[in-house]
Amino acid sequence: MTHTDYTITIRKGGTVLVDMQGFVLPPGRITFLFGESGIGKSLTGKALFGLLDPDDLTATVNGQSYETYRASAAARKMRAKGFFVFQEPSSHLNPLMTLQEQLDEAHSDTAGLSPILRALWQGSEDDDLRDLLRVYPKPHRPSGGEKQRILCAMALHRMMTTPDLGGTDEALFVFDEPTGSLDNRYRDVVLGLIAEAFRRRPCTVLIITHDYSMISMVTEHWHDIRDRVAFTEMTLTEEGQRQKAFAPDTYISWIRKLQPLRPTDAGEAAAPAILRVEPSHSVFGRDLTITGRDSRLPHPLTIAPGTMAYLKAPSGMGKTTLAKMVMGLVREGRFSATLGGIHLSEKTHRSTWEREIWGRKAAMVFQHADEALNPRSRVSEVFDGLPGLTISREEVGRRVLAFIGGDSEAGFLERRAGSLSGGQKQRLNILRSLLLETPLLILDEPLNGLDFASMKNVLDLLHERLARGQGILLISHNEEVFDALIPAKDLYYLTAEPS
Amino acid sequence: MPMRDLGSRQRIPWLLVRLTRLVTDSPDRLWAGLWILGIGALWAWDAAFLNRPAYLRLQAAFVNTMAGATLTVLFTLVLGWSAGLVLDSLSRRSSRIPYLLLTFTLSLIRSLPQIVGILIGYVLLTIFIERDIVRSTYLHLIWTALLISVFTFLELTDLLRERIDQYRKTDFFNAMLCCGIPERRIINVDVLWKNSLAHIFQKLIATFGMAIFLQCSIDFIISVGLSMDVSLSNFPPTLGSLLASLDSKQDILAIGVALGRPGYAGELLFRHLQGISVAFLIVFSLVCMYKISNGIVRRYRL
Repeated sequence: MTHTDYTITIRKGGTVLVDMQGFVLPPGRITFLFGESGIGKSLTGKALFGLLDPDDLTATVNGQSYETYRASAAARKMRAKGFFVFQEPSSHLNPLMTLQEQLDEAHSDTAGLSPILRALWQGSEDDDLRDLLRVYPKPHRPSGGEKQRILCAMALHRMMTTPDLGGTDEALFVFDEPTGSLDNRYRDVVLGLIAEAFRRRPCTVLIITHDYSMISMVTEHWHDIRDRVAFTEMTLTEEGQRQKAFAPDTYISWIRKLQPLRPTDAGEAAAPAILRVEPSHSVFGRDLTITGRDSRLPHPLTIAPGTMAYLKAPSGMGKTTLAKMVMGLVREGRFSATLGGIHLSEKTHRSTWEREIWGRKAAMVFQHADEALNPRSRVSEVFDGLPGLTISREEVGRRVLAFIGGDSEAGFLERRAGSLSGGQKQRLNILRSLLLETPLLILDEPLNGLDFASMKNVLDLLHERLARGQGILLISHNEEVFDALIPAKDLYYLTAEPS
Repeated sequence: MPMRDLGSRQRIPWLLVRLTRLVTDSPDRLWAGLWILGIGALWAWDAAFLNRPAYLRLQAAFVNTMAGATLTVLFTLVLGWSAGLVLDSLSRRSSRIPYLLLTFTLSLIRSLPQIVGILIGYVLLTIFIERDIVRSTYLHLIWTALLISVFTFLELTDLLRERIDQYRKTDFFNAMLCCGIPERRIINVDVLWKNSLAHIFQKLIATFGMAIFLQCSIDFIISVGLSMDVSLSNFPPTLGSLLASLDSKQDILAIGVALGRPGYAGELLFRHLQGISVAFLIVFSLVCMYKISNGIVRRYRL
């Protein structure tokens, strides 16, 4: 790579998708690129690697046409010797070849793969792994996390074993949200393996993510290569996208200063619980139990006014499904709960939720903001039809602009939800539920896709809601933040019921 | 790029590019334009060469047919939308009886061939005319349109229910429900209006074409007469009834003559203009509606 400083523009029809000036990618270093979802991080990475579809998008890199850039010797070497781990791994894997065949095809020397695969499937038997590698990638098998680990294994193997990486400045390895479908345990394993591969053979690595907790992992465990790691953040300005250095201490000191959102209050015990979910329930025929933090014994999940309960479990265990059962959206299971004095179970008629619960006693923020908003609704229309809204449409608009930060942009309220960045959608998604002021708020991954500043804003709002007596049920993979914020007595675990 | 910046030699490729884009990107607009142009050209030709009484008959027949088809679309929309919402609402109730009863009734309509159903309806309409219940041209058209729409609205109902069922599984539907937004509003505004408009519009265009076809077919069939007292002459003129008239039939037969004697073909455009114009209006309108409907499917990738 002869260039370390890139100017990239990407257009689709008449719309400018990326207008990035001064994107720095130092050779022989690991660069973390943070930033909220949907502002162009992945597109920038793909443009650099030469992966954009010229039929779909018009792009220039450093003033050259995209065809010229792709055909340049530097870009060709970057691609040939490097690797791109896609955010959505299904798009990379060939559905007509087994995973093993694809691993073998990518590498002539497959001996080095086994230790990487074993590390990425810690706790699994070799037989299970062999069975998995015989699978053809289909939409639901293997899982998103398994596909992501397969791609990471391919990239890591290439980093560790390719005979001619061409020094530190030729190959480029891009990891686009490499841990997006993984829980914290496997996130740490993947990051550890990237560091190990880099120690063996330093090369240029770009890690695109909105998971700021990676900073803690790097500062705690990557001492020897810390000086070769750069943290940067992509922001959207009026002139387009910009990359700026992100001081890791900003995040680390913020995390260290976090205090429980609400200190233990003896008085709250006297207040009747807003929500109580009995510990034993079943989801799609699978028996599950809620336990408290200090005990492996079943423990009902209770939320008193002004408290936030944090429900934890590995990915896919059924946290979101339990929340949807409480909200009457999933009926294929067994549960028992009391919400605002109303007893709820799988037998409760849907009209109870319609009349008493939805938007009145409880509201829920869905996990994926992309899917939780009607993409064809204008920003101002997202709030139409909310029950019991006491503020005017103008006031709603003012709050939207204040919370989402679109106040400098003319006509922001008239933009379609589908055209917003992922972070803006997520804030809109949260704000819709917050405006309702229901006694209970269920938050499913509320920090997904947010940049650092927006994360802090959301947490401030939650703090304010708790102070006003709202109860919150939280589901989040962002343990680093919420473990610091939520008192131990309000932590709950979801486990498979012991036989 | 503005036209004024281009020299005449550059304008031709520019126009070609625009035209190619129109054909490839918006075939529905292209065919809508062609339909209007075709009708306009025929109008001008008929104004110049068709005799006055025939010209006025043709004009009235065309206007009545188009008005009938438009009313059919309107009734189809109202009936289809209402039935879709009622079925969706009943299907979620604990008692299944009202849902099953309505489904059974709609299935009865569905089981009847459209043309047979409309013929039966025309018998009813004939009785109304005999008893002097239906008198004016407007009432004729409204009754006819209502009759046809009874046999076309189910397609729209099926489409709406399919769209509602599809969106019920999405997160945004459930997220809006959880925020207490009324389900009726989510269905009507967010699912059908904001996310299904192109689908509905495409279906209504197809219904418009179908209404022209059914009306013309029925009018042609009943040209043999429905009763001693009521005949086509009691009905407002339509393209179908005009096609069934003796003059038009002779004009159509002349096409066969022209096939055997090519030198006679020129006469079709002057001496046999009424029948040729009616046939052209029917066939050309049906082809255009078919193409517009398919073009919408292509443009919006439905």
